[in-house]
Amino acid sequence: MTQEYWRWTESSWTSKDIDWKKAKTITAGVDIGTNSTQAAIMCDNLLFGYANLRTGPDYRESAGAAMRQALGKSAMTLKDIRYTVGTGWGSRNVPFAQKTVDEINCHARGARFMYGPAVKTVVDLGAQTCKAIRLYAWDRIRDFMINDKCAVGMGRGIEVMADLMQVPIQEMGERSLTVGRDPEPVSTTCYAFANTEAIGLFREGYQESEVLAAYLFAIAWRIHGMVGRVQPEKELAFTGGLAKNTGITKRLEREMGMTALTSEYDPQLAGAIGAALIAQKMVEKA
Amino acid sequence: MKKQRWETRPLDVWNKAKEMRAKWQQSIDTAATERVLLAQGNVGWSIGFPALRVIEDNPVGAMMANKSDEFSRICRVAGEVLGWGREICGYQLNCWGAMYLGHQQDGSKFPMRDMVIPFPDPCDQHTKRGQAPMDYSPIPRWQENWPLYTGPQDTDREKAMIEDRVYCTLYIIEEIERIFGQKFDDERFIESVKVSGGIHPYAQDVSRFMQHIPSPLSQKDLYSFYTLGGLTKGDPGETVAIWKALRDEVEWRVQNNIAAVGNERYRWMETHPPPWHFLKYYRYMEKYGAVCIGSQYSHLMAGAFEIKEDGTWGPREVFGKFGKDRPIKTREDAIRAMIGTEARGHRFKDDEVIRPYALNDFAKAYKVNGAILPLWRCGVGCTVTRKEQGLRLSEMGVRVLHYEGSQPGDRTDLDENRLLDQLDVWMESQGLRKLED
Amino acid sequence: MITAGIDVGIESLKAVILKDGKVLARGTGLSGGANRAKAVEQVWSDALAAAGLSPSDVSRVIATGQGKHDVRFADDRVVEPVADARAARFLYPGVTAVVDIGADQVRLVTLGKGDSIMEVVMNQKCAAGLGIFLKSMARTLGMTLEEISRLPDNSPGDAAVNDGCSVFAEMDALGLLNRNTPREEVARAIIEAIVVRINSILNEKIRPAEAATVLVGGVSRNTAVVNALKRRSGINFVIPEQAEYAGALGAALIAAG
Repeated sequence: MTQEYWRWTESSWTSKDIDWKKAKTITAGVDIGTNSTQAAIMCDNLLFGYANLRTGPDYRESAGAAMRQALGKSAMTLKDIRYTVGTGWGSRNVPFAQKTVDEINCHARGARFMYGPAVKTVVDLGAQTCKAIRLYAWDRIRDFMINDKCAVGMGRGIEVMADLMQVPIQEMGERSLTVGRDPEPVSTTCYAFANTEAIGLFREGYQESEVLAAYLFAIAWRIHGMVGRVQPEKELAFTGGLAKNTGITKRLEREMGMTALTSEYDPQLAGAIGAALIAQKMVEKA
Repeated sequence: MKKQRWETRPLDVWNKAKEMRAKWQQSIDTAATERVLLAQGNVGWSIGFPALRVIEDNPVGAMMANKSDEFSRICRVAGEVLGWGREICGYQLNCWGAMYLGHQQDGSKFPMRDMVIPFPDPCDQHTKRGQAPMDYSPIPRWQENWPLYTGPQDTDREKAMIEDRVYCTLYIIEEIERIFGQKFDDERFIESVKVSGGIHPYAQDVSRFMQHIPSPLSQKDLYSFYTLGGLTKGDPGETVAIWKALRDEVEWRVQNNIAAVGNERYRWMETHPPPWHFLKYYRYMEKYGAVCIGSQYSHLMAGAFEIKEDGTWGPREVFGKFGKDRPIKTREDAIRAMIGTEARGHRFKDDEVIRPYALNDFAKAYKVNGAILPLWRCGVGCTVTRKEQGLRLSEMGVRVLHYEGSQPGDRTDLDENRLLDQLDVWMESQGLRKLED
Repeated sequence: MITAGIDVGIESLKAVILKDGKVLARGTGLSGGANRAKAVEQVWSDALAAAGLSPSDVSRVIATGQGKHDVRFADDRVVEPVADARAARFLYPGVTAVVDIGADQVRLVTLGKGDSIMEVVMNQKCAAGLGIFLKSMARTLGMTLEEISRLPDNSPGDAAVNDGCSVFAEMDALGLLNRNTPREEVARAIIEAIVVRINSILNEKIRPAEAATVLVGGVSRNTAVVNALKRRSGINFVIPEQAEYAGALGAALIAAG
């Protein structure tokens, strides 16, 4: 069985300590991305359970599976959840959601929960798109940018690259950081160009870490150009799956001249957590 | 090591040329500290204003690409962050990106321009050229009408266009006098037009000599020399002298079969500027015994050409009526002589659009076996009709290779290793293996 | 005389050991990235073992493919079109063109007189992502390449994806999934886009009525793609057995002289 270098670790967790029956409001958020789907269940201000798994070809099924895994072995069922908000690329495919909300607002809300209220700039690093969000001191979006069409799919390109290079996707970042000085980045226009150009660097005698560095630097550089347009301000937070790739985040921090905040939460959950928090607001309004 | 087919030797005149180019480069670098007026653009009459230096974003951007991958990359993003489209023009993104950053590669302050004067060219018409410095600081900008014209030959239109250009030029000169309190030196201008007209026959000869097998010069030599045309703004007499010296030396090389590439067995042409950050591909091709005899673009920079009645590619009479038949006495005379018969933009660009076989004439004259035509993603000047030209050349039996990139001053999408692989495929599929490693 | 050809592509490498025009053994494996030289050694020893030979039994080894320089022990190297042309001529004398569809490149080679090559046409970078693209999309659709290969070639339904750029095509495919299009239909749309792109290279360069056009390369094993390509181009390709070994076979033949 050939090793699947592109496969990242799925995860789920359900709290054993929180007595959800005593919670005032139970809400959920489901974020269906092109590559990954997350579900998050909030009991008032506490995260009760979550799941992060690969999006399958049937989005509705993926939403259901994520929800089931977030509920875990607890006695809670869908019926106990007061309000669910769907978000992400596939937001229309959360059949049990009462409402869909754009992922900009969800990520912003989720980021403030995960990283603290001082966050002013959120950079969401996803499989399909990357977004930069500027926030006011209060919970309002000031500005946002999304990558050009030509820069779509960077996260997916990384999966393809892991496969081609036979490097486990979770190790790409750290391995790329072992270089002394970054080489010039490969093409920053399109991940397909970047992939083939990076493989071609071996011909020049590049080491594996240098190829990874040139490749991830290109992605970070492309994002940096986009983020610049919202005039980023501290504090900075990274969300999304690529936030786990230190090869990208460390380089982005370097180019931006800013260090991002850290959190004990999985950065991929920002959208789902934010959606669940917005669901609470919907309940309060009603 | 196998014996070379032809004798090679470096050009004697090269050292003097290097000296002159360094002097010119210095005058630009020190412009920020000297009290001179810096103009974005490129015009032949700038020599009439002693305090005026013209500096054009194209060569600046090209030199930046050639000197530093890293710094030109940082400059481009500085432009993108301010809203520039990535595919507008790598030269401009490089050059004006440095303006937005405020400094040059060596850390020195970016020399802000004092005005924008025209560089009539298809590129000038449709891109942001000249607009960037004008938007960034309060400076005057003048434009000239010299668009790409693809319609049928129209002598009335040409006459009107030339009159318009003469009028615009006279007007701009007067405006600069008024706004900047400068006095235009007619004597100096007229003298330079008269003298620098003398460059053209030498440049045309040098070009024509490259039709010889083996070619006495290669494309790389042409790039070194065509910038000398710009040096007339320094000292026209000196510039003419060096062109004569070059011409004489190249003629001697032709008579003695001195080659640019000792193992010349394959001649190829290209089109428009090369990737300035990756000029090593010329040397790579030489390993196959393949010499680049130039491009329509580089030969035109050196001299002025046209297609004759009999279909051959030959020198064009640059001054039109002036020089030979009419003396150049006044400012307007000199301007008319300078403009000559150039009613339509850079003729070779027009030619390529309205005469898809324009490159075929060039290929025939220079006896090429193959053509490398890059597919850039940038302004119209570098991209228009490239694939059509390839098809036409193929019809004639010339082998064509296309490769892709962003723009000659922007290395973003040029996959260098892929290009080298493509060159290997191109050569070997024509039965040519490397002569050296 | 025993010779060998090793074709190192961006995704997979192939080895062929040849004796007097007969294939003794083949070997294949993933090229990998930094470990290509090692991958080559592994596949080489596997092929030798399958043929019951030791390295010294092989008189000459020629390497081809993107990674030809990673075959450290090769006696010589040839470019891919030259290898393809040789293999095609050997398998089908009188052939006039060979099309090679690989992981990231598609190549048309038209043949001239004798051993010569008339023209080589390759995809622009924007048509990149052929085999690699198929594999990545298979993953997204939760289908294996074999399942995709078995899809019937019905005329494409309403579902369509961009045929000028594989990244946009991917985006379109994901959009189709978002609108709950059945994955088999999405797969057919992807196949159609791939085939439109390949056909743009073939264009008018091949006259179907003339002698055989050979189809080789890894993607030629995907029946669904091949059927769609035949339909689109009007060319009735000849596909040799073990078509993805054509490059290695050609190199081995060249090694034999």
